[in-house]
Amino acid sequence: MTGSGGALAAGDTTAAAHRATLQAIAEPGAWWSGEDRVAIVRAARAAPSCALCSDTDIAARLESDRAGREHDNDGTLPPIAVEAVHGIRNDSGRLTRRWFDHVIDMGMLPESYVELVAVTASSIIVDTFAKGIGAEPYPLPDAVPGEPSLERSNDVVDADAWLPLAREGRANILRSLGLVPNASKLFFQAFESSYYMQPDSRFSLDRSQVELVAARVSAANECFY
Amino acid sequence: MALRESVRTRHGADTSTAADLDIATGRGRGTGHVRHGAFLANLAEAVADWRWDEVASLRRQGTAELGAAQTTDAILVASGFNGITRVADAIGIRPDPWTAQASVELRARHGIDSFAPAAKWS
Repeated sequence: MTGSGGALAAGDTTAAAHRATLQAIAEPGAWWSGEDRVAIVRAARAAPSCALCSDTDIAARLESDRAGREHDNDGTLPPIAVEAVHGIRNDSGRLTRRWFDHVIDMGMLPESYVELVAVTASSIIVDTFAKGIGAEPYPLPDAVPGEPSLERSNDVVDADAWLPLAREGRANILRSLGLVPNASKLFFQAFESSYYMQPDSRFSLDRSQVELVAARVSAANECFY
Repeated sequence: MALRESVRTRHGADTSTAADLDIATGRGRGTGHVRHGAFLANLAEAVADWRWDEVASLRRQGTAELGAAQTTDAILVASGFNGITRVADAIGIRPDPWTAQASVELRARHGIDSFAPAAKWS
């Protein structure tokens, strides 16, 4: 199972799920085109080396006019979308209600934001795993032409989060992307092989080892949830 | 503190061994009463922080000491939680009521409350 240079091989199920995730991202979504969604992944991949992100944090960017500086980007996405992707990728533990309100005030629809979160987080899973096992991230597929469906769910409720959550669900995290069901489906397709999401989910680690890894990553990311 | 508590609450059957939560939050050292716990905590943190040179070194260590399948699964779980924590933080969801009620003292003792500054929701 070990490849050259100490690289590990992804299992067939994981590899298939991650390839399917990227292919699904390349298709038109509910509020972004396929081209936009692929650009969101490019923005997430470029975020670690963004000069503006390395010079400032989220709070500082809210306080200053940045002297005309922008995040490193290829010009495909609106600047506020790049801010959202880079904030989520680089500084997620410090996201605040004020930052979210700024993103919405700058013109992003809540539905578009939900989908952006799902695409960004899904790509983080796929790319983190690839780099983690010592492989190159998958190349991005070509965007599939087509218009966004403008789908949203009305079966949502205010649950004291920044956005309404799905009415039904056994945990807030499972309800979190419920405003845009297509986005929720995308993300949990990417996440499914990483945890006990199905009755037959199995790992070569024991349960306490899986929980330790999950908790350590959550703590490293300063995730209160 | 036992990680076992969260396993029981969130997923039904308790199949884990009691573990020290301080090893999960990075405040403690040692194995946390989890097999290969110190190594897994180090690997999880390196993956979460995208420290790829360190991950490569730990990957080789893990392959030798735990096995390739176990090391791959640890990276897979870490990758998933690197994504799902971002969803939680970007949507501003609060802990589930049963978790919030059951973990007041635990969150304070282990420094988890510091992850949610007042500005998170105000």
